[in-house]
Amino acid sequence: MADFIRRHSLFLTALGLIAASFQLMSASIEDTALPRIGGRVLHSALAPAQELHHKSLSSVKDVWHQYVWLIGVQKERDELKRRLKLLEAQNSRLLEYEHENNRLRRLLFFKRRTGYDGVTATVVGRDPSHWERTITVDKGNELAVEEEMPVVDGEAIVGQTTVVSPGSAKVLLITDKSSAIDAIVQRSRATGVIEGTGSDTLRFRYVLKEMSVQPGDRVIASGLGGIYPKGTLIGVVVDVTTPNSGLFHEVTVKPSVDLRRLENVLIVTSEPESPVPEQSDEQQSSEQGDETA
Amino acid sequence: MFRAVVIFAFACLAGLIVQATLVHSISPYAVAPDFIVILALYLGLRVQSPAGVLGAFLLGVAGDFASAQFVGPTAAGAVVVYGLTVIVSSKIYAEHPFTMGLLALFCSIADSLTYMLMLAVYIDVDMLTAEVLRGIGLEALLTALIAPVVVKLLEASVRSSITQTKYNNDSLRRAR
Repeated sequence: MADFIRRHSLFLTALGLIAASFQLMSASIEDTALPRIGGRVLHSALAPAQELHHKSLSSVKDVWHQYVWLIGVQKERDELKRRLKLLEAQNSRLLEYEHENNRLRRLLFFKRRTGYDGVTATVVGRDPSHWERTITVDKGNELAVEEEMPVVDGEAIVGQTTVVSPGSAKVLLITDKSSAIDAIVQRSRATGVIEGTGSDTLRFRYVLKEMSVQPGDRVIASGLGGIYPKGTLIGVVVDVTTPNSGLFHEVTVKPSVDLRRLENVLIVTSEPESPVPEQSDEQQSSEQGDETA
Repeated sequence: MFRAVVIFAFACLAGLIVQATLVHSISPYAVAPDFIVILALYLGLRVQSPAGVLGAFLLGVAGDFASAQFVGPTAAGAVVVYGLTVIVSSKIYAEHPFTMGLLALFCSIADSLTYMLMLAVYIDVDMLTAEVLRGIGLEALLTALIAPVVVKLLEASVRSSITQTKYNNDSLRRAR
């Protein structure tokens, strides 16, 4: 018996310990304090290590998350920058549309006000030389545009067409030296001829001394000559000089249109069936306001 | 010998700590290799005596205390692992990493089954779900993967401590 035990001591011990395990299990189920007693001892040893592990893991996680977060921020910033550029471009485009809309509205207003019909054209080029004052527009004879047709910008005269080809037309501006328009002062009905000077101002010639002209007077087309519609605004008197000798005033007129910044113009292609009365400044302003509203 | 016991005890503690902390953080599917199985396997390979099985039992009790729920299932599992290792190592060469890994795989499964059996005896719970079985399989695989490495490391530490002790004893003897 003793020999048997000695020979199988290992397995007997193992069996005994398994039996002890069952006993311990039974005891721990009956008394739940048992596992906790040993647990407290072991946990006191494990807790610092677990805490250390938790802290170090948290640090690593923090670094990792912050790093990833920074990458995310950088991506987000790049994306926002890209979107900002897109929106800026879009905004610029919308502003451009707004300006264009205003310009076209002004042209439409001119057509309604005067009864003249015309073709809206976009300025696509300017004369490269300093000697001539011309612009090129993108509408030509395919739209019934012909030579010597008046060109307006909705408020005032711009010039007249000179060379017309398919898809484009050259417009001689009123500031060109070769340009001349028969005009009258709206207030005093003093007549004269508006001539281009090659600069940004116009010269109002042949205004008799006995006729009243003063700075601020509006100068309009008289309709004589058959090109420009009667009553269309040309410009405003900015300077009047009356020389001692001679018969005429020396009058300087500033065009009502900023000819350097033209973008859209109206080429007047046909006259109205019934003549339209010329309108005053206040009337024009109020009508234009209604149109915009 | 005392030094070897201390090293083994330290390894037990380290195993428990690693199992309770790091392994859970890095292993997938919240499954960790069972260090108690590996240490019991080591004891079964190196200390084939009643002291060895007692060591495995105490190791299991420590594991039970670490979970602080029941005392006994892990202890019984460790004893089963120890016994299985002793039986298998007497029949085949279990020192090769592959066979050791395979042994660890079976030991881990046996440990889990023992644990479940004990719980089934005392608590009326249905634990044989697909998820539990998958967990047991993954745990066994992870245990099998790292068991040869841990056993080799532990063996190297214990051997160097024994060599150091022998050297110290010889030096003392010579000095006397």
